[in-house]
Amino acid sequence: MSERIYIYKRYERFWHWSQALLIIIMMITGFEVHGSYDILGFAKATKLHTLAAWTLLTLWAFTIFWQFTTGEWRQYLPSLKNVAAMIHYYTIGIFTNSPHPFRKTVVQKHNPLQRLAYLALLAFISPLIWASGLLYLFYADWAKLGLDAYLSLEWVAVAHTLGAFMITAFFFIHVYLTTTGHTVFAHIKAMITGWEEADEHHA
Amino acid sequence: MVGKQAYDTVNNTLVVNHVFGDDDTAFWKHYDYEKSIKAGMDYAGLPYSGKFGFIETRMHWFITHMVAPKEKAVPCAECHTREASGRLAEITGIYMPGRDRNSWVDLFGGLAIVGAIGAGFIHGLTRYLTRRKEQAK
Repeated sequence: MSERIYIYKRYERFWHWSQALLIIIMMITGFEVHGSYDILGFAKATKLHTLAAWTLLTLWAFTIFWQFTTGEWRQYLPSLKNVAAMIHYYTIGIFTNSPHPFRKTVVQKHNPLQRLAYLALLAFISPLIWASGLLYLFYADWAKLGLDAYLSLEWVAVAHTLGAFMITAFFFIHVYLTTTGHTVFAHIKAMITGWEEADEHHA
Repeated sequence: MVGKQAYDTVNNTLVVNHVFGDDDTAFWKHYDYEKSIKAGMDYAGLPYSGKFGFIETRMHWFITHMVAPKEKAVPCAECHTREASGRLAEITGIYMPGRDRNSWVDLFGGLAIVGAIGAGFIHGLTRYLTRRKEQAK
């Protein structure tokens, strides 16, 4: 019998999947506003992009509260310990059927590389995309806020686009890495049900 | 709309008067019809006899104030487009979403996305192939 642990709590799963949906909507509509293709039309894409952004900010307000009250924010503290072992696993071990060097527990559900990746996302990409996005959204109020002397729409838009490309690249890597559990869909299943079936290797 | 308008009593035409401005002829500065009509008609390049009077006028306006019906409103994409036929395609010196972009950011961003997908594909394929070899042993 493999061991099962309850790793993703109900709110966490709700947060994850609604955020996933909102980010996918924003990627599709955002690149349409950027002019990359024509699916919904500029007007609808802009409206939906803005609506999704405000919805995600609301979701984050709840999530930040949840992170602090549950202490789950500690899951994002970086540690350089065992990072080399993780890199070795992803570049070599995974192909030779070696055991996964990291064991998920309730208090440590992210492997060391994941911690670094999520911290980078939170510390660099997130501020870039939210700061530029909110400035973009309130472009009409720049003069009133006294910001028009320091900002140009071009720089704000280009910074926002840069963040969008980074998030999109992150998204594809993130989705690919979900397939690296002990079975292809093991991680996705855990994110849906909350229960992670521990790998037999480290029984 | 009902009103009283200045007109040319010789040519029997309505006249243009110079209404506003910080100069010697503007009507709202000097309240002088003589000067302001002369200046307005000179500016418009229209014939003016120099004699004027006032005439009652009645004007019929569409209730829509000439605003086009909503189906004919200008949609965003007529300007926010990369097409060379965009209404503001030739306006330079401004950044317009949907029309403008930074080609370096687009190039390297595009490569990052292709790289992310490609890396996942190659890594996954290698996993699949090595796993099969392992099982065949």
